[in-house]
Amino acid sequence: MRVVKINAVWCSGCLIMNKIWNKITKEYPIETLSLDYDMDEEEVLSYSPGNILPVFIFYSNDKEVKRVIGEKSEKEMTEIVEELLDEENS
Amino acid sequence: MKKIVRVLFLFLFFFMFMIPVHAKETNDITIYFFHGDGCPHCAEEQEFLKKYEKDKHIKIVKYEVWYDSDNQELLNQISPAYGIKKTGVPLTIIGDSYFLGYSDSIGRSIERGIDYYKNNDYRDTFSLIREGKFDGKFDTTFSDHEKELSEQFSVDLPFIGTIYLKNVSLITAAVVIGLVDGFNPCAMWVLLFLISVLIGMKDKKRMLILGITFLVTSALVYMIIMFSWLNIVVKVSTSMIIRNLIAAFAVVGGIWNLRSYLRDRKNDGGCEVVNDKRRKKIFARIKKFTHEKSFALALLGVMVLAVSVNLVELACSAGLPLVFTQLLAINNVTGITGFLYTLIYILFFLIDDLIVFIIAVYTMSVTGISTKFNKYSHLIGGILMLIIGIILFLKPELLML
Repeated sequence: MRVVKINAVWCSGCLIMNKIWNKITKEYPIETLSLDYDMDEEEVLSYSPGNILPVFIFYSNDKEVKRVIGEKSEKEMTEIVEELLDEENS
Repeated sequence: MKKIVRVLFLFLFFFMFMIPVHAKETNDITIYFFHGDGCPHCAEEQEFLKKYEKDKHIKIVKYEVWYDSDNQELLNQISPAYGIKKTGVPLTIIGDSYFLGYSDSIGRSIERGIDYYKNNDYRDTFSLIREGKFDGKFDTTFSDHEKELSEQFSVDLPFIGTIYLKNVSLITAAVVIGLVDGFNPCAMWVLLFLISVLIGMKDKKRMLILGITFLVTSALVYMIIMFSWLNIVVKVSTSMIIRNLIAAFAVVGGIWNLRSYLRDRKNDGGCEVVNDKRRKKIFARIKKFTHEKSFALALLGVMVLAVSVNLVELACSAGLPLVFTQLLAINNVTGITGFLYTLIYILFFLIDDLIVFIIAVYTMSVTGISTKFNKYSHLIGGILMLIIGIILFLKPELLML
């Protein structure tokens, strides 16, 4: 599964989510493209991220299957990842 | 034996009346009492003064200042003449002395003042000032004695000097409101920007000094704004219009905060992207001065950044500091005590920034504070402001802690 993660250095919620995401990616087969809202502006805008960060865009077979916006707990994120991976494998 | 005692007793009894007594004549004195209708400390003092109402040597003249603009004007005329920097109620004036506020200890001080002026030199200084006949020379014998007495109960702190902390309730208010205000994310994003750039430079010493400079300057800016505001508010605290304006501001701020809470809840937390242009400008500035070869210029850059950010973000975080300074003003707290309460407020206001900064220094990585705290800061801050605003409108006396 491929995930595009959009965050910003000034966003507290993104920093919290970064730690959670790093943990998750160690356990699950996920390929992550991390984009910075300010540094990678052009690329970020191509994903239409909206005005709440962080944004996690999940792709399965190059097709967007889910978008998670805002700060989530580790449990919530793990459940989402497991569900999407199950769907992808089934 | 009993007979002897009885004779001796009678002898002493009559002898007492034979001794010529040269007792000093008791002075007739006037107590001028400025009060506000609905002010609990004023009501307490009214109750306290009742015992003097039947004293033929005492005349009590009362002035209500919260609803009577003439009396308010009189208070504003009399206060500076007595050297009172802050006008507030209750204010009691006897002869050359005044008593600001009311508590058990002030009550005892007023009792001593009444006794003093009844039995020592007394003049109706209040009337002399009103009539423009006062020579400007106060007899400070009584007030000097009171000052000595009060100093026995004061605390001396190194570097700060003598302080008189009013009570624990105001300290609690400083801690709670400061903490809630601190989790308001108004200026946090700039600190995170700054830390992330400094970490990239991998210079711990530079990071430590520039980071501390940013935090200390931010605290100073906040302190100057709050303290100046406190001094302004205290001077106009007797004005109903000003108090109602602040109350209206608190209510509107409270509603705005609650609206932000509801929006955050809908957004599942996270950070809202706002002020694209300003953010980019600040980011460019941070990068420029942190990479400045001259350390002095880098320091100056951080200071300018902290001042400008805190001034600009003032609109975002002005609500709670304003409410807190109004709390201090309504409790007649100014000077070094006001400064100390403001300092407590700012220390707790900066706690989240300090945590983020200390972790960054030790781990050389940026840590965020969960946006859930921002969410609850909006909720608690909103409720606090709404309640305090409504109380300020309806029953300001409830805020006298």
